[in-house]
Parts: sequence; structure tokens; C-alpha cells
Amino acid sequence: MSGSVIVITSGKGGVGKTTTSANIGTALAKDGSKVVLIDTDIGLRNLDLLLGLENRIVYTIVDVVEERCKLKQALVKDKKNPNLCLLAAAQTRDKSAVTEEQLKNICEQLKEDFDYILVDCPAGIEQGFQNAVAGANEAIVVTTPEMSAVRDADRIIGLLEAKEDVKKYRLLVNRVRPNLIKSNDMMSVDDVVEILSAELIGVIPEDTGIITSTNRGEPIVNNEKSLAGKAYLNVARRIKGEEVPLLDIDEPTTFFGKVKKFFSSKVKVTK
Amino acid sequence: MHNVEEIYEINLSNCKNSESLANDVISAIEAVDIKNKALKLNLGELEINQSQMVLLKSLIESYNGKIINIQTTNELTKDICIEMGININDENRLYTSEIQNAKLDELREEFKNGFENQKEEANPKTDTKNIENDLQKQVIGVYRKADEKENEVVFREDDVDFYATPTDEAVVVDTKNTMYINQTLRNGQVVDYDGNVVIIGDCHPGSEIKATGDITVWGVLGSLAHAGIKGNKEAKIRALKMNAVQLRIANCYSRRPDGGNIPYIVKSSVFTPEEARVVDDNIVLFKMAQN
Repeated sequence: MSGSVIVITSGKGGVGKTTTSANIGTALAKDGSKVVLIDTDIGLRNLDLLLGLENRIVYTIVDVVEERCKLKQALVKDKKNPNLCLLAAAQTRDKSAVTEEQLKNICEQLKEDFDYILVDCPAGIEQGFQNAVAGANEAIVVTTPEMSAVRDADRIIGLLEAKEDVKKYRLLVNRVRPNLIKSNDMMSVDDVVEILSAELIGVIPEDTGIITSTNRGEPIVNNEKSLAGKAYLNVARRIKGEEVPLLDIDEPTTFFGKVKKFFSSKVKVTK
Repeated sequence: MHNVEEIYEINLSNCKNSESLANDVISAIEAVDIKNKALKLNLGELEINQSQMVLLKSLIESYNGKIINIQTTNELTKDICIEMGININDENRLYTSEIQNAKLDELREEFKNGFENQKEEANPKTDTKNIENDLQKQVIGVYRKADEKENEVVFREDDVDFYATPTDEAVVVDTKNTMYINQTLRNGQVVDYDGNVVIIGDCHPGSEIKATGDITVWGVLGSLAHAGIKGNKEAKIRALKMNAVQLRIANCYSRRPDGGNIPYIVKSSVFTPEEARVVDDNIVLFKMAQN
């Protein structure tokens, strides 16, 4: 078996890299693939909290590279899904504890046993980013429809294009608010894609359920009612190579809104 | 735990003062092998204060012996014996620690499902290719009964019956050096010390305390604590409020039940000082005795 290594990166902080990693990982594992999540944010780890695995961590990635344990011992199995594993970052060290070569080596070893290796990248373009990208074949660039996040994503795409190993990069637009786009207060997804001229892998709507799910340590894809959860499930299917149309995130909640939408959809409003 | 087989009686009624008492006790317990033996002391009219009694008890326990009965005619000595839970002039009653052990056994049976302790393997097998087996090793013990229902927050008050009864055992502190820290331990900070560690302040999640001796936290322990890292299973972890992500003593591991990391539930003004100890390779929380 030879799995694919996908790095999830953004440049800017707080756009939802870790949330995306946790949810895509869980969604892929739900579908039956063997998935391992690697947290490379050494010193500021969060992925374990989002998955609710904080209390299970015994060994970390730093223990693996410093040969205090075997790689397989450091993998923490998910509570619900046995197909999902986490390789946690150390909290008491910093980014310099791991080198690019070591991370590449870990990814190569994990490829033998897993279908997907998702690498959660830290914010910034320094050593942490270089480490995370080292072993990757593919990248998902997370951005939000804000100018600052788009600029940073552009910078990141430039750096990714310079890497020979990264064959493919796709864009994920997070925290989209259809109402604000409608009133012209937010960039539309089309605008973001046009500025960055990159392939789109998914659009995730803003969802207050993300906050609750983060606090509970339960990825939102496990909540079938959530729109953001559905969007993440679709992203996972696209990663597997399926053709899935973009989710209609523009869902009005009231009956009146639904009726209004039904009629307004017949008339295309141009800007 | 002591398997009491034989009872020895030591007559110390001829001693005039505490110094000659100490000498007599030492010569008596060195003359016979008192390991796993129950001892009956005859103190006669001698007056012993509490700290001397604690010393006497810990001396005998360091030889793996156990005082089950003290015979004395002195009123002050009698009072101290009663306070410390040692029987006086009466052989028919069970002594307190035996009662506690019996209760502990019951508790352990009751919550056996909650305990999935596992010892760390010193030399992991290198030949197993089976990833499932290796991953199974990650399942480590919980130190409190966890609620099986998903998505439900477990309040600490619900599992209060897990705790063993308060003990009257004297606190015997290791004679190692002690590091005294007067600050809040924050995410990412590590305390690693060869000896005991005392922290006046909270320990936030993400920090680590490692000590070869005991760990005492005068505050909320919310981090990882590892006492007796060089293999001392007698090491203890004490905190005003125990909310540790993981507790480790020597090679025993245990973890917090799932769903306990929501910060606004952890913070409260109610403090129940607790002490974690190793009992048969399980980490068990004891409420500290209230006097």
C-alpha cells in the first residue's frame, strides 16, 4: 500500500487548518480509509483537543524522532473510529525539535500502512511550514474570504509551486457567509478562486456548531445535521477522486425564505 | 498490603525514656525477622507524644512490620493511639487499615470495568508487524469511573463514591530534597527534579511535572504529573483539586475520563484535596483525611 501525503496549510493563522484536518481526517476514516493525522505544530498543539484525544497521548512526534519509542507506539487511536490515528506534537518543545528529513522519513514509513496521511501545518512560513511540507505529495490551502487570508494563501501557493514533491494543490474556502456575500460585504468564493487561480476542493460555510464541537473534542462531521459537516464530507469524497457538485450553502432557514429563494433562483442577478 | 501470619509481642515496659525505647525497639526488630509480622507493643507507663509515635510506626513499617496492638497504662499514650487508629488493650477489634483494605477490595471489584490499567513495557517487542496490537497498547487506565454515554459531560460530584474512605495513615515524606515553586505552571513549562516537588499555584494543561519523589500541588492540578519516575511506586501525587490529564506513578499510567476538558466546568470554588497512590498497579485517588 502506498498512501498519499496531504499537507493542510494556509499561511495565516486562525483560518481553520486544524479544524479542517480533524474533520477531513474523520470523514475519510468514516468512509473506510485508513487515515493518520500528524500534528506538526510543535509547542502549540491543538489537534488532539479537537479530536478529544488529549488524555491519551503518551508519546509524541519528538519522542519518535529522538528514538525514545517506535513510530507505531506513538500513534493514538481515535475513540470511535479505529481507522483514524493521531501522531501528536510535543507541547514542551519548539519547531526546531524536528527536521525536514525526519518528517519526510516518518511520512514514508506511514505510507506503508495508511491510505491517507494528513499533515496539519502550523501558521507562518518558517521552519514549521518547511517541516510539514517536506514529505507531502499534495496540499490543501485553506483560506477565508478576507483579503489578508487570500494574500497569505497566495504566498503559500508560490512556495508550494517551488516544491518539486508537491504535485497538486487545491483550495478550500472556509467560513463563508452567504448572506454577507449577497449584500456585497464579503468576497465571493468565485472572487477568491479568480484571485488565486487555483483549483477549488470545497467551500465550508460559517457554522456556530464548530465552536461547540471544538470544545467537546468531537469533529463536526459526526453531526449529520450540520451544514459545515456535510461540506467536509464532500471534501473528503473529492479527495478520494469522486465528482461531487458543490454544496448549496445558501440555505435560508425560514419557510418564507425558501419560497423566496425558489422564485429568485430563476432570475440570475449579475453584479 | 500485609499478609499477617504471626504475631510478635515486644515488651518495652522497662524503658524509662523515649531514647532507650528507640534503642530497644531497634534491637528487638533486628533480632527477629519482622517482615509481614504483626507486632504487639507493651509500653507500660511510658508517655509518648504524637511525633514519637509516628516515628515508631514508620520505623516498624520500614521493616515491613505492622503494629496491631499497643498496651499501655498511660492516658496520654492511649489518646494518641486512638487518634492514630491503633488498637489499645483490646484484641478483638480489627485494626483500621484492615477495614480499609477490605473496603478498597470491594471498590476495586465494583469499578473493575473502569480500570484498564496497563504497565509500560520496558522493552517493546520489535518483531510484531501487527499495527492493531501496537495500537492497543495505547489503551491506558482511567482513574475515575467514566460515563459511557457519549457527548455527556461527567460532573465530578457524580462519581464521588469511587473514592476510598479517608485514611488516618501518617504522612511519611521521603527524605529526598524538595524543590519549592511559587508560581503558576503554564502550558509548555516543564518541572523535572530529582526529589520531591511542591508547587504553590495551579498547573495548567499542557505543562509537565516529573519528579523522582512525591508531587504536591497547592492548587488545581490540570496537567500531566509523573511521580517516582525512577520506579518508586511508593511516590504519591497530592493536589487541592485533581483534574490531571494523566497521572503516572513509576510505570503505572492512568488518564482522565473523556469529556472533562471543558474549562468552565473544571473551574469551581469547591476543593477536595486528593492523593493519588499506587494500589496493585492501579492508580487510586484517596480523599485526604480531614481533621
